[in-house]
Amino acid sequence: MTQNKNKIEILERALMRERAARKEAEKILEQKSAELYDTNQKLEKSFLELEVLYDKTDSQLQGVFENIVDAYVIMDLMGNILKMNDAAVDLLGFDNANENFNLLEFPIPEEVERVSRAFKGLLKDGSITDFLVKIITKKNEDKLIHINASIVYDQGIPVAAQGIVRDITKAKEAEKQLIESENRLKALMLSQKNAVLLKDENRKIVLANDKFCHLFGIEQNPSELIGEYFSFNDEKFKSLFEKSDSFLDRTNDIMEAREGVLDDELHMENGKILERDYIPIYDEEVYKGHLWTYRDVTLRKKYDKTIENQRQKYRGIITNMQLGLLEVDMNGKIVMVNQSFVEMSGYDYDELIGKLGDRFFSIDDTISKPKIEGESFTFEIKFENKDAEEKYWLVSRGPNYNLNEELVGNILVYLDITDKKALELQKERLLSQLGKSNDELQEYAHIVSHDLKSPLRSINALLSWLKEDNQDKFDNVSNQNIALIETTLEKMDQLISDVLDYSSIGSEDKEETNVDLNILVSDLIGFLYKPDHVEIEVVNNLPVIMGDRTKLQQLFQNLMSNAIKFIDKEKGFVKINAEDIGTHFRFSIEDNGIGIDEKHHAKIFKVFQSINKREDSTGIGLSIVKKIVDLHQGEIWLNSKLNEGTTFFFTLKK
Amino acid sequence: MKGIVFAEFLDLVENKFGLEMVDKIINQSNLKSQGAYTSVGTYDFSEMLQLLQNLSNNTGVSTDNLLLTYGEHFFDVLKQNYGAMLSSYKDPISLLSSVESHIHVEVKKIYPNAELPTFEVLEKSKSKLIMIYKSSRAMYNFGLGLMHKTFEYFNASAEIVLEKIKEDGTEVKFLITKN
Repeated sequence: MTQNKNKIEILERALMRERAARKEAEKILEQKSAELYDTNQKLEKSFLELEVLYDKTDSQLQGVFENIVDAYVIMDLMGNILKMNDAAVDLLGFDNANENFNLLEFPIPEEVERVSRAFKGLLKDGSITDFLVKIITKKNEDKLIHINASIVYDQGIPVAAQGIVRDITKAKEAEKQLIESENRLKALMLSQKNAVLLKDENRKIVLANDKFCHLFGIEQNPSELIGEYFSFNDEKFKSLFEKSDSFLDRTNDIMEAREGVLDDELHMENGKILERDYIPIYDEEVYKGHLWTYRDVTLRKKYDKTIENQRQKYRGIITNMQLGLLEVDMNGKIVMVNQSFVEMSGYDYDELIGKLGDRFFSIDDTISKPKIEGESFTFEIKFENKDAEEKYWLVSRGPNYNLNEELVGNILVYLDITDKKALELQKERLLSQLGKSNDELQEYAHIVSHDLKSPLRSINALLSWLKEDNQDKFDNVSNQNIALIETTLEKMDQLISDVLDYSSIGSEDKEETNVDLNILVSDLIGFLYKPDHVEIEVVNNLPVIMGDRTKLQQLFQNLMSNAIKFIDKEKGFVKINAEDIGTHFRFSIEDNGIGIDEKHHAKIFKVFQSINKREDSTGIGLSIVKKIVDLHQGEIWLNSKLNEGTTFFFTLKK
Repeated sequence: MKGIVFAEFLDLVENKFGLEMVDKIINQSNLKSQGAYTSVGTYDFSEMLQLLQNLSNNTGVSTDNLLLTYGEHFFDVLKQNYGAMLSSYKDPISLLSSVESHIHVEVKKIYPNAELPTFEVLEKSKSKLIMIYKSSRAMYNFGLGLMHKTFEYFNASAEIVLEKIKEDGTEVKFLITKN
């Protein structure tokens, strides 16, 4: 019983515990249920909030979708367009967003294969980025586009694809142009005849050219220098420059200042002179590097020096030359004078510079203005200097141009010709006096000889009458004396005739005709008196020359008759010869007469010089000959040996 | 401590020693819950300690052995309720080494208030695992029982050596070598 009772008690207790446990569980469950309800309420509330938020976000997204700048396209897994925004409509050349089209039809034929592979890749990998492809739009435009696309999943299952498309035709073109432009710039810099060194902000070389390497003895190729550091601090380069320390200081100062420097002059140890430019490069005011350019100006510097020397030289010449120099501007105002001009004019610098040139020097405008503007010309002026002395100046006036070849004035060079001018005037006076005297003398000789002839004729007539009347009364001596008187009178008459001839030869009234000397000479041979033992021979053909027939006859007649007259040999000859010697003909008249002593050769052509005191010789003949030869611009001379003969030579102009 | 641990414990006692023993140890203990446990409730750990001590006194079996047996029994409870989780492992070593990093994380999701021991993995290879057990409950034998059953579950066996790092058993090193 006790055992049973115990058992029942045990079971009762177990039952009690089970109940208690159940109640406990129910209580917990109730509590949990309440908690769940609360949570549910909260969840519902937040679900509503989320729904509102979702709607808002969705409409925002819709806005974004429509307003997104880039073209946005949603397509199915076959590539058919499901939806697109306005940008996509524009990009692909549609008229509106509702057109049905498959995107795989856009690429150009050459790209179709590649695009198809890329599309498969998209389906497999779920996305594709930075895909570039050339397409032809619906409006037939060629475009290069950039695509980022991804697959849209619905619970892990791919349902569509979306993509953002950008038209990079222009960007690509711009990029190409930029690269081209960069290359051109690079080529330009590399081919510069100046040395070029471009460094970035870290002082690393970006670009250097051949000339740079050459100038500083760098053995590397310019392309090998890119990315390297380069500094003149390096002993090897430093020593290339004179006063290398101050050079380095200056270089560092320039680079620290980061301000442009132009034409900075450098002297190298090898004698070269360089000019360098420093140009800092800023991008939006941020220092990005700098450009050095170096020019070899050695030649130019030397040239400059030479020019300076030349300038000094010419300045010296201008200052010290005996010619006056005057520079005037276009208004005639004096810009510059040299020392000589100051001395010549008697005025000081201050009295000249800036003043009008013609105020000081009465240059007649009609003379001083050249016929053609800017032409040089020369003229003479008469001028009174400050001391009121009369001066003659020879002036050469030339235009003065500036570097742009514009006429800026004139340069005048003055030569004082006062002394020369005085001499010239004196000469002119003398010449006119002389001419007058000559004319008077000629007239006088003419008159005298003419007037002298008539009394001579009277004497001759009277004497013949005296002789006839007293023919029987005069004894032989008287008759002889009368004959002597007659001879003397004849000689007197001849003398007067010769003087008349001589004086008339100088007169200018010559008649020039073509004279055939063959005819002239043979006529002379005909009427000249010639003893039988004398032979006259014309050795060759004589020329025809332009001249005064009468005078030419006189010339040959005098020489031929002289030759005949002085032949003392048993058999005499006179030979006449002519020779063409270019501008002149040379004639010779040779005889085997008594000859002329050489001491007389110099004086025989002078008037009244007769060597032989012969009755029929007036001493005028050879003077006339000389005068005629002179008139024909010829010369006369002779070869003679006493007792052997004489040859006269003379030339006549053709 | 979760009610399921108590409930399963008392079920085990009833199976092994009869309802009288259950009634006895509950009466001998001073329990706030009066021994009425529901799986969904949470109870003070000191109740478990009293129940264990009284069971040991009444049966003459040491608490260590009691806990070991209880651990072995508890594995079956887990297998019934959480079989999917166990089957996601292919071998016992990887399961045991994941107790801390995986299983306890999942437990915490269901029972945020659960007070769990930590298992720090010192060494792990295909056939060897060294872990340090740390818990103020000092129920390492419960863990050992679970481990035995784990190997059994995968049709394997292992030699498991315990080294107490702290005398009270709150920190114990498990040296597990798979056979």
